Amino acid sequence: PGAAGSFGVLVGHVPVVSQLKPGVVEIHDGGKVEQFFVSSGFAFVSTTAADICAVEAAPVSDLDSDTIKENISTFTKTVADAQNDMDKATAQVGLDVNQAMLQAITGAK
Amino acid sequence: MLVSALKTGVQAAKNAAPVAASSVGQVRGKATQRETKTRIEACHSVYKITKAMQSIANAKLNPAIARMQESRPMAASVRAFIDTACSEVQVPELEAGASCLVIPITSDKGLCGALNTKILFKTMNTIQDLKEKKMKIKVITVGEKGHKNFQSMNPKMLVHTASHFGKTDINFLQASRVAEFVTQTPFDQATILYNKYINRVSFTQMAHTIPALTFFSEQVSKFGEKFEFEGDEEQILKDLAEFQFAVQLYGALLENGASEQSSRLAAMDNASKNAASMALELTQLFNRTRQMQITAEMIEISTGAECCKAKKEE
Repeated sequence: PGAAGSFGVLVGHVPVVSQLKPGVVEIHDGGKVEQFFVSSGFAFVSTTAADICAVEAAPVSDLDSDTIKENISTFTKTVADAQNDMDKATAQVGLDVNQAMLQAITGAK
Repeated sequence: MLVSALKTGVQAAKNAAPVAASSVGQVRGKATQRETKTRIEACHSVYKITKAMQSIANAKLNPAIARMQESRPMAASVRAFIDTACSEVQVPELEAGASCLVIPITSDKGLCGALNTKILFKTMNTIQDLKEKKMKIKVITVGEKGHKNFQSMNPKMLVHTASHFGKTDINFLQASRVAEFVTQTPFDQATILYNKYINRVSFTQMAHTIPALTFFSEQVSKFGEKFEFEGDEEQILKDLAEFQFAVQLYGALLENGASEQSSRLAAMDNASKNAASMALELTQLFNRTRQMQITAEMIEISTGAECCKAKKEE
C-alpha cells in the first residue's frame, strides 16, 4: 500500500523506496497468501530483498470489525469537533487508519 | 520499596558493633550477642530481597531478549538502505563549533551492576573527544541514572532528559515520542550510546553516530541515483530521516533494556551469594561465642565447686 498507490514487487524489481499508507500488505509464498495490515511505514526494495518497515503491523485476521466501527464513529466525531489543526490532524490519522482497516476486513471477506 | 528495604537491611548489618575475633579469654556479653543476632537477621532479609530481584530480572530477561531480537531486522534493514544509498556519499566532516547531541541511554532503577557506570564512562570519553574537536555539546539523557549523574557532574551540558517510560514494555510508540522530543533540539550530529546485549553474561558499549536530519534531504540526488522513489522524493526523505532516527533509538532502548536485565541478574546473584556466606559466617561466630560463654560459666561453676570442696576438707 504505497502512499502514491499500491504496487507489487516480484523478483528483479527496480530498487524502490516508498512510504506506506494504512493498508494491507500481501505476501505470496507459492500458493499461500498472508495478509498483514500495516498502519504506515516504509518499504525498501533492493536488488536482493524487499523490506517492509512498518510502524505497526497485525495479521488481518486479528482485526475486529466491531471495535473498528466504533473507532470510526469516535474519530469522525473528533475530527468534526476538533478545535485546532493538530487535534484535527491526529483524529484524521486515526480515522484514515480505521477506515483502511475496515476495508481490509471487508475486502478480504 | 524493595530498594529501601534492602538499604536498611545492609545498614543494620554494617552498623552493628565489629566482631571480637579472638578465641581465648575474651567473652562476648549478651548485648553483643544480640547485635550479632541482628546482623544475621539483616543478612537473611538482604538475601531474600536480592534473591527476589534476581528472579524478577530472570523472568524479565527472556522476553526482553526476544523483543530485542525481533526488532534487530528492522533496524538492520533501515541502516542497510541508508548505507547502500550513502555508500558514495561521505557524511560531511563537522566543522568546529557544530552542535553535537550526545544521548546516553541509562536505566531508571539502580542495583544493576556496572551497566550505567560503563555507559556514562563512555559518554564522558565521547564528550572529551568532541571537546577536542571544538564541538558544541548538548546532552539529552534517557533514564534516571544518567539524569542524576549529569545533574551533579555536568549540569550545563544537560539540555533535556527523558525517563520513567519503560515501566510497561518499551514499544515503538514510546521510542517515537522520545525521538520526537529529542529532535526538537537541532543538531549537526547525534551520538546514541547504549549497552549492546551480547549474551547472558556480557554486554558491550556501543556508540551510533547519526548525521543531521537535514542530511537526507540534502542528498536527494544521490539517493535518486540508486533508488526509484514512489511519490515526492523530498517528502519521503524528510519522513525517512525522522523514521530512521526513531528506529535506531528504539533498537538502542531495547538492547539496553535486555542488557539491564542481564546485568541486574548477575549483580543480584552475586549479592545473594555474598549475603548467604556472610549470614553463615556470622551464625558460626554466634554459635562459637555461645559455646564459649557456656564453657566459661561451667569453668566458673566447677572452680567454685572445687573451692568449696577444698574449704570443706580444711
